[in-house]
Amino acid sequence: MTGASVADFASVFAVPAEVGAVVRQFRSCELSTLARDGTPVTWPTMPFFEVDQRRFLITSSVGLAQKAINIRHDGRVAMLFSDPTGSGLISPPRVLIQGDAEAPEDLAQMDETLEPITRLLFERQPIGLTLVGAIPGPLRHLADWYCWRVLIHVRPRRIRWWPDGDLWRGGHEVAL
Amino acid sequence: MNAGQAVARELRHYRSAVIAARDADGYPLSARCVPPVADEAAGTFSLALPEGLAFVAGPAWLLCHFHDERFWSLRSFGARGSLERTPDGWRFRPTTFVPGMGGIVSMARLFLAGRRRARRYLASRGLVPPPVPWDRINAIKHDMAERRDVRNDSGTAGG
Repeated sequence: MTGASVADFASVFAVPAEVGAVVRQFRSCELSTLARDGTPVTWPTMPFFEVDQRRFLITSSVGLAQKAINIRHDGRVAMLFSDPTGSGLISPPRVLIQGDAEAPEDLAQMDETLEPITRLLFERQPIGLTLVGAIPGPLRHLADWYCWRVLIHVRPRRIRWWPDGDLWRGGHEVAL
Repeated sequence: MNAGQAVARELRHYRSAVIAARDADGYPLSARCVPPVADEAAGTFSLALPEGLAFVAGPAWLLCHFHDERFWSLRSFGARGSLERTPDGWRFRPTTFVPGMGGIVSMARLFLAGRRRARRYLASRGLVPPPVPWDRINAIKHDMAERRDVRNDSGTAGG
């Protein structure tokens, strides 16, 4: 689940532990989806690797759902882990995961799937604790839209990584 | 101000950029690189990319984003355009500048636009949103805050 150990992603896909650490520790990745005209559209997002499912889970507010809409049209995506800020890792590899995504229309519920993600979000972005507390009760409905979320699942098909983040040296690859 | 000028203006705030295009299989492919260098006359930005990445010339996107150690101070922008192959290497030609995060004004804009888009998304699909369990979210928040306090206390005692 969300609190995967360093070895989990690495052992599932037979990649080095350093690659697993990147997936676990990085605060964000750059998710690329394909717009209807074929243009990649890339924004940072926070992915969670689900070991049991061998896939990533990304949630998106329905107010920021363009990535999910793109995926319903064309499920080919890429996730680039290239910004180690806040990860605590020193000279981590740069990791690129290409995969196939699905984004069901159903809205997510706050259940056993989303609760650990909410906890991890508060842990990684502590200012969220302050912001949630700053919204007076009678005004919380104004922020409901941010909590109405769709789920995106990404199944990796190709993992590439470059030791020390150096793209100019030869990289490594696992095709799944 | 055209897209190229807007990109050039914003690029000054970043130490790196992410270029995304497609590979031969049609999948998105992206790489972080040093900030591209503007060629104002040509309306393009030159990119330092190794050959082995296997980019294919065509539709592309440029992203710059920043967050601090606590995943805050968010700042970003995107640019839609195309990736071009020239004898000198790769160039990005922006066609549309897409503002992202950066300051209280952009956050307010994002919040208001997000609400509007959320209502439209739900209405167009006939979806009824579930009630947001604010009590549960607050309980998680308090639990996380207490754990953080305990960790901080432990750190002080141990130090």
